[in-house]
Parts: sequence; structure tokens; C-alpha cells
Amino acid sequence: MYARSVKGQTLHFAVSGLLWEMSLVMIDRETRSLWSHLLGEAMRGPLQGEQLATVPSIMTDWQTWRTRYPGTTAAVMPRTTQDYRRDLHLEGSGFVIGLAGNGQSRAWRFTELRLHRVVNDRFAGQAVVVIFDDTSGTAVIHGRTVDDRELTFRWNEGRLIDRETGSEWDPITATALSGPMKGKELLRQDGVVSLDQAWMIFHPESTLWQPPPSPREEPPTT
Amino acid sequence: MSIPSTRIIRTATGAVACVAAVVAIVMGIVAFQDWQLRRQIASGTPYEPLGPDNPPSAASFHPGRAVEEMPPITEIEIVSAEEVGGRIEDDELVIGVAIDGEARAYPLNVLTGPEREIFNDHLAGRPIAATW
Repeated sequence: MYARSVKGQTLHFAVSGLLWEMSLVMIDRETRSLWSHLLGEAMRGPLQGEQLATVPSIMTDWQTWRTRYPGTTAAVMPRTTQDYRRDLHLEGSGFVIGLAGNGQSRAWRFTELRLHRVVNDRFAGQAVVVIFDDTSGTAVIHGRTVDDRELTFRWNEGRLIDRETGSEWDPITATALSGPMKGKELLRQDGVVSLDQAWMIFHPESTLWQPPPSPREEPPTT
Repeated sequence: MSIPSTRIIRTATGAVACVAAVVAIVMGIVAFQDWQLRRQIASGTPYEPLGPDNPPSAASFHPGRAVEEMPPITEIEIVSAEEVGGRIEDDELVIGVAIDGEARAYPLNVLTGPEREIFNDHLAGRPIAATW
């Protein structure tokens, strides 16, 4: 999900018909610059070097989204495929969720997230939490610092709790539902769901989270 | 290459024929190289694959043509959740965005395919692109 404003100009993006390592290359109508979809960067043309700002988004199932955001609208159009359903994230292989920025990147594999379901981690100096919701197959990444305080999260009988205050949090809306933190919000991160191979090709410097030997909770990485 | 021979080149028509032959050969070589290049491009193979020694950059950007260019999608039917009905089923994956109190979902099953892939939209007054 990208913001379409670049240097004060609103761009309209189209499929260029080109692929770069099997990845979509976009073209903008206004300048005909070519953009890497995965990098969000103009690779050719008058805007070469420009980086699109991202808008935080979540990949989840429709049921989860519409129940969390009852006032939501939706884009409707005839389907081109039937394949993309929650089972893909619950059972399919090869998916990662990743963070990238300032020349750094890190990825967490779905196969491991399904087992561990919450990872208290760090990226680019920031404390983040990677959460897997195993009813919807949603992977999501949020910052875990609230009011200058780092929280550590765990699942307890289907509820996401922070150890420091015992507050319950909704991983989808990143909001505390009850407890001392009620009403507080975690800062959404731009977690990108991608195929493992595609991520490593476009982020060759990426680190990969290594789960601890035991599938139980692990202490936060320093 | 020994051309048999000087006898042929002596005549004007012979000279023209010889030049024509050379041109044809050169053009044949050029056509063959062009065909090789086209085939390489059509296969989507970059001149050097991306990897740790060849990270993605403007210098390593070598796209291949897969399909023709598509027009930008700017007209999208947007409905409320109540109006969706069976057009999006509960287990279908969507990209969900929430900006300034406004939320919208884009189903992956409609974003897939070269004629889709990018939706130019607005949400909470901000121009955004849903891409897949």
C-alpha cells in the first residue's frame, strides 16, 4: 500500500507489463517512470531514485477486517482467482512477513510464526512485536513501546497480553481492550507479506528471525 | 574465405551481388542477435541475476516484458460492508487499510492478474495505491 503523492504531484500507477525477477514493475502515467513494486522505488525515468511512502496495512481475512472495522468499505470487482483465502496463510508454505527501511531488513517465516505466535523482537533499533493470529492466518507487526515503555507480549488462552501491565490487546487494531493500557494504541509497522524467495531477492541483506529451540515463550532479544 | 572468384567481381552485377550477399549475412547476424536478445528479454531473465553480489538497484534493473502495458485503474466500485454480500467471502484475504478513521479492504482475489495488480484510490482524502 503506497501513497501516490511524490514531490507534490499525485501519480497514477499502472501495470507496465514488465517483470523484474518475476516482480511487478509499475509505470506512472504522469512521468512514465518505472517503479519496482517490492522496493517502492523508481528505477528508471524522470523520477528515478524517488521512494514511495508506504501506508500501513494488514493482510487478513474479510471476516476479521469487517468485524474489527464495522464501518469499513470494500473494493468490489469480479474475481480473477479464488485462491487467496486464509488457509493459504494457515497452511501454505513459503510466506514471510518482513520489515525494510534505511538499508536494513528482517523477515519472520510463517511456518515458524504459526508455532510461536508472538515474537518480541527488535528492528532498526526499535522494539517490535510480530504476532500471528491463528484463527484468521493474519501476521502483523507493531511497535511495542508505549509512552516510552517497552512491553513484552504473550498469548494466554487466546488473548494477547502484555506482561508488564496484564492488559489485553487486539492484534488487528493494535489497541488495548482492557487493563491499565485500555485505549492505548501500538504503532503499526509496515510489515510486508511476501514469498520467502521474493523477499530474499529484493532484500539480500535481510536477517531472518531464528526461533529459540523450544516452542515456548522466549525472552525478548536485545 | 576464398571467393570463387575474382571473375565474379569483375562484372558490375557480380559486385552488386557480392555486396548484397555480405549485407544479407551481416543482417542475418544482427537479426540472430536481436532474436536472442528478444528471447532473453521475453524469458524475463536479467543479464545478471539478483543476489548478494548483485543487489537490486538502478544498475541491476533489467526487467523483461511479460505482457503489454495496462491502463491505470482509477474507477473502482466501493461499497459499504453491508452491501458486499457474497462478493467477498469471509475467508478471503484482503489488504486492509485504516487512515484517519476510514477503513477499506481490497480483496487479493480481485487484485490478482496483470489487468489488475494496482488500484489507484483515495482514502480519507489521501491518494493511495493498493498494489499486489
